[in-house]
Amino acid sequence: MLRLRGSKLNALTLVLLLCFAVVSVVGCGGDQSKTNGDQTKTNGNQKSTGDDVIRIGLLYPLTGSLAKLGQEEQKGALLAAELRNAKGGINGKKIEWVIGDAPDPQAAVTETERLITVEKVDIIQGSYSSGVAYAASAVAEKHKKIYWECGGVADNITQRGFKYLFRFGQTGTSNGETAIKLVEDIVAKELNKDVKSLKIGIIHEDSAFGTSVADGAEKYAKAQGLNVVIREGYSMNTKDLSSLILKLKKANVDILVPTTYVADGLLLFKQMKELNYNPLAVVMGGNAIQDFKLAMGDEVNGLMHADITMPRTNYDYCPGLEEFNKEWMKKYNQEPYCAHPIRTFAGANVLFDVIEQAGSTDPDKIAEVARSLDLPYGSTATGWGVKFAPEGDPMMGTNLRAQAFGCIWHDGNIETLWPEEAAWPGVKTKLPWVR
Amino acid sequence: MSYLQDLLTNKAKMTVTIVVIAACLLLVVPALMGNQFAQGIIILILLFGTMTSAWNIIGGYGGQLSLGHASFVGLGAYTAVLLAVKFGVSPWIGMLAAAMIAVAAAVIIGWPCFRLRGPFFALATVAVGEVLRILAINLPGITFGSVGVSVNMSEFGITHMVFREPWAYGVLALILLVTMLGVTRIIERSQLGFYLVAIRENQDAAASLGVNAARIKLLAFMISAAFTAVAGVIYAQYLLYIDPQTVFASTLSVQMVLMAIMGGVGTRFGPLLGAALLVPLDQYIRAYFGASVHGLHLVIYALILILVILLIPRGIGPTVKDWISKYERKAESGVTKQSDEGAA
Amino acid sequence: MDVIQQLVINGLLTGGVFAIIAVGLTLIFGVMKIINFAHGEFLMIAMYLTYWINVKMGLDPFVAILLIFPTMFVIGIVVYKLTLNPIINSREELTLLMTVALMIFFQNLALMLWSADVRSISLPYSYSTIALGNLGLSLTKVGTFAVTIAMAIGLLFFLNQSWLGRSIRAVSQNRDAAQLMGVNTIKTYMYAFGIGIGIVGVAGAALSTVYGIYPLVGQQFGTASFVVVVLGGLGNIPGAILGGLLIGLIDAISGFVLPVGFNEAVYLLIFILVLLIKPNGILGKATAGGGR
Repeated sequence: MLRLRGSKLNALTLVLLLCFAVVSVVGCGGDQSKTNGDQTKTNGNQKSTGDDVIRIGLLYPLTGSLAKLGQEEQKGALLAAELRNAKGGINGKKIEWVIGDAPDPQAAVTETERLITVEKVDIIQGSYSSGVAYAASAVAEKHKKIYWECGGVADNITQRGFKYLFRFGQTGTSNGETAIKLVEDIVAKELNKDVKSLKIGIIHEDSAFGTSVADGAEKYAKAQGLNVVIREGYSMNTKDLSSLILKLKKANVDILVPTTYVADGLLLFKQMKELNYNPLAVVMGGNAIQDFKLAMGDEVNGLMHADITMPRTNYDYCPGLEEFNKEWMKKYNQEPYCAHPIRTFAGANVLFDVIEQAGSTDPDKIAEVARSLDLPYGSTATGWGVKFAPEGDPMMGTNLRAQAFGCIWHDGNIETLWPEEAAWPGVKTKLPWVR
Repeated sequence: MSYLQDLLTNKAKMTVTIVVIAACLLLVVPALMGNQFAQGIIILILLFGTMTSAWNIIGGYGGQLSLGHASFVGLGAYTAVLLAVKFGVSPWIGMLAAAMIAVAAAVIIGWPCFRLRGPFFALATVAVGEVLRILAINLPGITFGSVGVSVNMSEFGITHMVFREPWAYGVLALILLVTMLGVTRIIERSQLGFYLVAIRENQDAAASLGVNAARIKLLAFMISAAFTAVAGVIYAQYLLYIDPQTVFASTLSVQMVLMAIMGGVGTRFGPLLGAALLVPLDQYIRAYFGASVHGLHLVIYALILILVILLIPRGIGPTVKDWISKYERKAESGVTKQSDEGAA
Repeated sequence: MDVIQQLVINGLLTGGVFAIIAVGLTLIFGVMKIINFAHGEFLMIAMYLTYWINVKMGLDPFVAILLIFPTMFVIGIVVYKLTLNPIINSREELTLLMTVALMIFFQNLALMLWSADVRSISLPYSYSTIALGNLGLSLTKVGTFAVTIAMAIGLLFFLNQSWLGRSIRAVSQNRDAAQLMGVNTIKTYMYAFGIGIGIVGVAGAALSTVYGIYPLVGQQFGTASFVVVVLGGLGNIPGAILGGLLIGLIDAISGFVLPVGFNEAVYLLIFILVLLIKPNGILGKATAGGGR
């Protein structure tokens, strides 16, 4: 029926060419850092027997605009399962992640449905993106399955009274508050100025992430009586931030508190330099990434972040962090790109402990055990404790003992400097931050 | 000859019918057996099917390439959800309000923009869609901004339009879809439909024959907007959460157009067919390939799209219809021959 | 006063960025009336190629333009022959659909091959500025601007003086008449597309000095490029540059006067307004309603 002619011949050629290309690409795997021989993950089509394996869903944006950090977060969870399996797994059973890709809330809904109803997992860990977390956890709650959120920071994720939702990670408000605390406790002191005399500018990319951090920062700053002169959001796809920088310059902003993603962050620093805008200090609201160092070289020293626990944090305060760093270096031959995998790693480990204690993956048992946890700060690889807000609390499910730490670039490395107990030995500030 | 007899003797029609039934069974049976993932896919097919069929009224029959139709999805979703969250208004009334707001928007957008032709009109609609998305992000006082707003899930049931079982959403979406298709049929056979097609083929010629092009296009746009908005409301109630990026996304606008073109633009069932093909395709490819090399599943999806466009440029619906009629003609000439030879 | 001057300069420089992308797009859009959704993706491919050339061969991106243009030209022709040529005579929705599919394809192919990492080309002059009194002009953006002008001049020369160039103009004005005059429209379309993509390639090479490179970088410029093209008039190259500068200025000024998040909305609204008054764009020809 198909006579090959003209466009059809073209199409066939195209198919063959592209099949060949795809096959060879898949065969070589591109130049991504591969998780070779990773037996802990599956796309869920091999239905292993339930007896010797514990299957947990793993939902992150692996494609789309959040792919980079979503993939980094996922790697933390993969590593956690690998290490735990090497130590015998949970109660003798191996952990197996069932992977889902959720670049946006709609995919989150369908993938969560798939993981729960087709792959039959009782627990799902995710999601990095607040939008994904929001949508996916609603589906899980409907099915009465556990949603173990380690990444999404928007406060309202855990403001819905969900019984089966647990957020191990810190909220965006925490990022914002820590940023301002850094200004108060460290920046102002080092500069020998009254913190209320400093002009603060809060700028942020305008998705849920940046907005929630900026909201937290602004609210806390104003409550402390600080002088916030500018607060503006911009689109992360912006091609030009020069107008915003000129505004900051004109208002004589002393302390800049930006919350950015990767490309816009790089653009910001580049244009700040071009326009000769040099605030006394820059305290970012998150996403401390290696790209900043690659782009700015030695000039990055002195840049501060309020972010997840960095690899260089006091090991005594963060049990498991040293092992994480060692194993990550072994596997990927480079330092972590950002702190996100550490959070997922720590969160996954807490989850594994909960499953172990509960003796099964039954959601009600898991919820019970999780809510009963009462670990102080300094108990996990992120230096956080674990205590989930109880039933009836408006933020039910939030980890009350998770907060953003303050860190700074020193000698080309990011080191934690706040709170003191978590500080990396030898860390030094560099203020004002002159480039 | 009765329809059934005709069906049984026409091999091509038979094959197609069997394929369609098989495909439906593949989806529907697991859904009926409680597979909520399959149910979810069906709901999305029904909702997107409605949206793209609505687009088809102005885009297919009218030939006006609107690339910003997500504007109406977003307007509908936000109207209903904000009314519910801020004023406690029932989603059913919210649905009515959504339709009205969409119609008003259609007039405001269409009246100036329909003066533009072809790619200019298309780009103007893209611009409108983007402006709405930006406003939704930057006016948090009204829309809650980027963090989005969640549908009140505290109570389930029909009055709240929040259901525990997906099939309830499916029923709602199905009713809407059937209504949409019915309206399409009425338009197809009405004066509005004829005028629309005339405008599509040659607007100036139609105008010279007395067709009020501006009014006709506007009318079609209003109908299209209303249905899209109502679908948007059900979509929001299903997702239980909306944010500017999900409901005002340009990718959503493009998908509506994609489905219509794939299935056969300007035909009654084409868009639905397109939705029924593209939604499961995307979901299943993601399920199978989503865990391996990142991005592979979308590369495969895109390749399949390219192939289909090259091999079936008129859209799947019209092409299949062509096969059937070609076969019918062959059969007719064959029948004459056979009767000559006296075969049974 | 200083601030306003800096704003204007910034706006014009950013406008140069818009302009350089729009020039290639206006050629394709103007000649073939294809809304090429994958335009940004060709930009992205060129940026990656420039990156690899810089890393493996140590070539400066502006020098690499000499390699990028022919490479992207060939890529453009291959893609055109395989995917667009077969359907070029079909309805316009089909070509639109094809370019959407190409967009998805390239974005995710890049993701597969090169991962989601954001790469930057660091050059000794990445942060340098040219001083103009009290103002600073980003050197890389000035370089991009210079490339835009050079390219536009070259293109205009080509379109006016060479046979192929004139064929392209003929086909864009009236396809059937051109065919009657002996122009092979199929080949002309192909070359026009190839040249358009080659130009986008040059834009990518220049812009790789300004922006980070990642699979979705093409999306950053998406709508804006089309706005610029329509504003300047389809197929009108000086118009594309003027349109770019105008949008850049509006972008910069509105970003200063209003909260910066509304930027895009402002120039989009202005775009819609302009279309309503002058449907063919500011410098477009005066055929009624955009013509079909």
